[in-house]
Amino acid sequence: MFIRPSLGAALILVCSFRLALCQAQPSAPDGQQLFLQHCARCHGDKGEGVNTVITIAGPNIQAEHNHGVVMMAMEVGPSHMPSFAYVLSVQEMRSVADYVTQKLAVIPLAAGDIGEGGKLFRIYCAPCHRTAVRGGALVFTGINAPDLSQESAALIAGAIRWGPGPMPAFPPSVLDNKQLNSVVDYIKFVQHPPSPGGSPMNWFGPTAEGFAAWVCLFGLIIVTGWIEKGGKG
Amino acid sequence: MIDLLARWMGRWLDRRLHVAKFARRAMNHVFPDHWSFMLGEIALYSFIVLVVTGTFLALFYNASGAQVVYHGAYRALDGVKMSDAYRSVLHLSFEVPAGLLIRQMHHWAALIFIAAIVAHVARLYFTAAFRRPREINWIIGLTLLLLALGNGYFGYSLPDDLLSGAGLRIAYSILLSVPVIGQWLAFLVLGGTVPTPATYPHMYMMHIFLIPLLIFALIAVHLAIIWRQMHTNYPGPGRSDRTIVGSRLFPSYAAKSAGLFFLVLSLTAALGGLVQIDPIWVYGPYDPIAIAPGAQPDWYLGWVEGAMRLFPGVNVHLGPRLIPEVFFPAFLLPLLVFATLYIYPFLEQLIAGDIPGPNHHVLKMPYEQPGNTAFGCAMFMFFIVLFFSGGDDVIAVATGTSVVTVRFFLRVLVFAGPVLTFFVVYWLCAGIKKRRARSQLISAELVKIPNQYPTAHKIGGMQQATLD
Amino acid sequence: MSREAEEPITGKTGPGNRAVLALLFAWEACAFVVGTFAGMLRPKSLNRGESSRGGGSLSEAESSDRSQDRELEPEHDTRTHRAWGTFLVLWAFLASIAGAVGFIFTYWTGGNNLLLGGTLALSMGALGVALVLYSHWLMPHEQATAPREYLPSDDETRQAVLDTFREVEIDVNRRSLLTWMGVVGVGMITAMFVSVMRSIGAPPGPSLFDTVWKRGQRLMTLDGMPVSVNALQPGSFMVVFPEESIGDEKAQTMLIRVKPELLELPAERANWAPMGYVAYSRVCTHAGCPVGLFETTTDLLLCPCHQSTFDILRGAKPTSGPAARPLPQLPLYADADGTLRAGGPFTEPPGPGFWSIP
Repeated sequence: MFIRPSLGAALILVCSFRLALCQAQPSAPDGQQLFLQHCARCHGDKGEGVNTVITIAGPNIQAEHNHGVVMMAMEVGPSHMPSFAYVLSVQEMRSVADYVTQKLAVIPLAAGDIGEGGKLFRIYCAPCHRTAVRGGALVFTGINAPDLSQESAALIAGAIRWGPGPMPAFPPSVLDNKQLNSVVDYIKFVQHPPSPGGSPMNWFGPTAEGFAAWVCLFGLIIVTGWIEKGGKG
Repeated sequence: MIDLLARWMGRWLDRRLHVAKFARRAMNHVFPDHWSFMLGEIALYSFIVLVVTGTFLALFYNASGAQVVYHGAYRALDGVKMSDAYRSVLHLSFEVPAGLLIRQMHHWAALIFIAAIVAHVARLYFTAAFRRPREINWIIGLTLLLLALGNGYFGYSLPDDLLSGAGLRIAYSILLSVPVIGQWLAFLVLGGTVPTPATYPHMYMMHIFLIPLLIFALIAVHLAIIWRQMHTNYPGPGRSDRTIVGSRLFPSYAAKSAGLFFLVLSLTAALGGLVQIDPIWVYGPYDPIAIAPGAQPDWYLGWVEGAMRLFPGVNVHLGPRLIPEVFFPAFLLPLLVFATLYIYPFLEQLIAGDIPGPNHHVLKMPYEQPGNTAFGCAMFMFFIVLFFSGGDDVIAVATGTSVVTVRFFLRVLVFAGPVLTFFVVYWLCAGIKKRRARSQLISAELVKIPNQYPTAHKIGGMQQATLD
Repeated sequence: MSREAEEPITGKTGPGNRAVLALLFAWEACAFVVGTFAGMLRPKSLNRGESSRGGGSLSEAESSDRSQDRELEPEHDTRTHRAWGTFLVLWAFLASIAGAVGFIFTYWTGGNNLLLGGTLALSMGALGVALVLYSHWLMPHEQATAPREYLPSDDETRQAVLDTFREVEIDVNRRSLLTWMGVVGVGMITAMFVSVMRSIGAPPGPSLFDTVWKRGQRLMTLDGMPVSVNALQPGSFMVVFPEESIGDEKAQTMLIRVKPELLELPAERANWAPMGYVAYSRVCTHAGCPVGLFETTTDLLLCPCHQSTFDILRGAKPTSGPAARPLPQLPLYADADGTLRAGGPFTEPPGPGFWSIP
């Protein structure tokens, strides 16, 4: 006879507790709103990246599927990005990261065919960035094609689709997603190309090799000086 | 024991070939004692290294443009279509034990070979060693340089990688640009828009057979002439147009020379093992649709590349016909340079009033001929600026500047540099020459000894050079 | 010749003789090693003024003692000097052997390039150093003087050669026959040789003037897909080929989309660029490299070989760098399906210029 009312009372108690708890906690932060508020200025409303006159404000992040990387970026503020460690709480950062990796990251990243990627790389990418992706000279743009040897796969994929600064964009009609993944695979590989032959001299090519040959010849000439030491000719 | 062997071998040969007299003269042949006479030997020994390493490489290279699909040790090219020539070099580099070492030694030896030839030519030039009677050897030597340049070019084009393939395409364009005969020249030398199926067998034949054969023959003649005429000497006591002073071939010079050979071999091995050269796997196979910047040839053609980059885009129309802009820096300039080098001994004879004149066996010090030396230094500066111009995009990326700025500075430097060098070196040489003449005059005055020829003086017990 | 020449020491080599020889060789080897060390204690004369081999004095090269120099460098005569020399040479040689052993070991254990090269360099370098040290420390420091031969021959010999040469002519009339034989013979051999060159390759023919593209051909990607007008956005490009020649090196074309209002093509080409699509030959007119760089901010095509730039908005005119002629342009139009097609061939033969280019 007292069970139903006591259950009811318990229910009311629990509910009121829960209500009280809910009111004590604010609602879960809106990742999209935070993103538009803090990030879209540099990264664009959809994370597509923003160009400035010569270079970029913020890169395309539509290939960023890694939650931890986004968190880290907001914490640390890599490169030109400011740190949001004192601006956003951890909760807020988490929701932004969720939003980025779940809603904005539309460029798929998967394993590709590295051989095919290399072939496309040498047609589309090597002309600007060089075969060992150490960057190449551009004319009149105010900036050279950058060295890609430290970039992450996500940022590379994003840049290919978007075309930051003077770089052209490569939409799916030029490189479909499979080809994009192949190219990114190849670029990741060639960031540290195998150099079984010894020191690669920073991949400068024949100019550096010629320079090295002449330095060695001068060394040899010094050696001939030793061989014929005291010789009066 | 060695004495025994030597005697037995000597007798065995002498009985059949009458070699004793020659052997004696040979062992007593005098070589001057100065390091600058060893530059030609560095070139010769690099050539020997090239031949030995090249023989090994020839066992593995396949001169075929046929397209194959790669499934080898280098996974980044797996499934990629490439020529069999490229595949064979990949196989050599990654799967043949010591293959990469020998290949790198071969390429480094080529760079050192040509560098040594250039240094040797420079020594001859600055000491006026090309004067009568050595004009023939000068001409033979320049021909050797040209052959070496050609062989080096064909050599690094054999692997058919993206970098050297682009170089072949550029060479085709250069040949095509020659007025009147351009089309025929391009088709004769390269067989059409490269690469054609015939390109690799042709280059291979030239690189391992025809040109080395010519080089061998010319080296033999070159050495025979040196043997016959004997070396020159720097001015010094006892050295004149009638006597040569130095060390004998056996034993001292032979030991030093043999030592130099092993040191050259050692340097090549050290470079081949420790410093990477021509990483064709990163360049990728040649694809006529692909390209990359940093497309420089090997250093000895870098000056032509630099000239091509600096020369402005001017079209020369002769009526309805066109002389394209590449003709001037890439064909005409090298032609003029080598033509000047070839006729230089005769030019110098004319200018110095040495016609008719005696045979010269004593060298001139560089400061004794300021005009010659200054001109030579100016030309060197010209080539050095052009070499760096060949890598102007690499310079721009390395220094983070614009290639347009770099090119502008180099365009100014290519004229200003040589002119400035000429005047500075001329002034320096003339100064040294004057100072030396004055000091010799002073010491002559101080230590005049009666009853001697006025031109011979003794200083400190040692015979001073005569002033005739 | 001495009587020894008739009786070489190594006579017939029967087994008994061979055994004796082997023992002798072994004995000599040991003696050499021991003697080298013992030699350091034995004083030896360093006077090389007279040659010890071959007997008699040297007539061609006189070896002077440089006795003046000996005063300056007395240490060359001492046993210590020779001992040091032997020590150094021996150690250099041992280093060389160590290097060689290292090389062989590295090779047979699947050697890595650095170790292989390093051990070979050590081995050969140490050997070279050993030889040079030998010449510095253990060989006599002599300076030889030799007379130079007077190169021009005497008149008598020259005349004798000329006379021998002239014996070929029997009489004056036959001389010109010989000359003509020489000239014509050389000429005809040259002509035959030169004509054989034809076998090496095809003559140029009209292929130099062929632009490959024809009117109405669809633009195709490298994968063989046609290109629609929605394929690109402004600021992107792709590499396209004519329908029947996908992958053809001469026909490779850069298809670029720019904002149509920026285009400033000459009047006769005004309708060659539907919706901002322009197409130019990808083969540089300077030296033939593919013009692979599209700079979106400056609307320039940049060739990576020699840094020539071409203005996309103005018919690919060269704006900087060594190129002199604009890239040939391909007229475009969009057909009813929205596929891009070529409106005709290139304006000029693609690639670098040549003498008879139109």
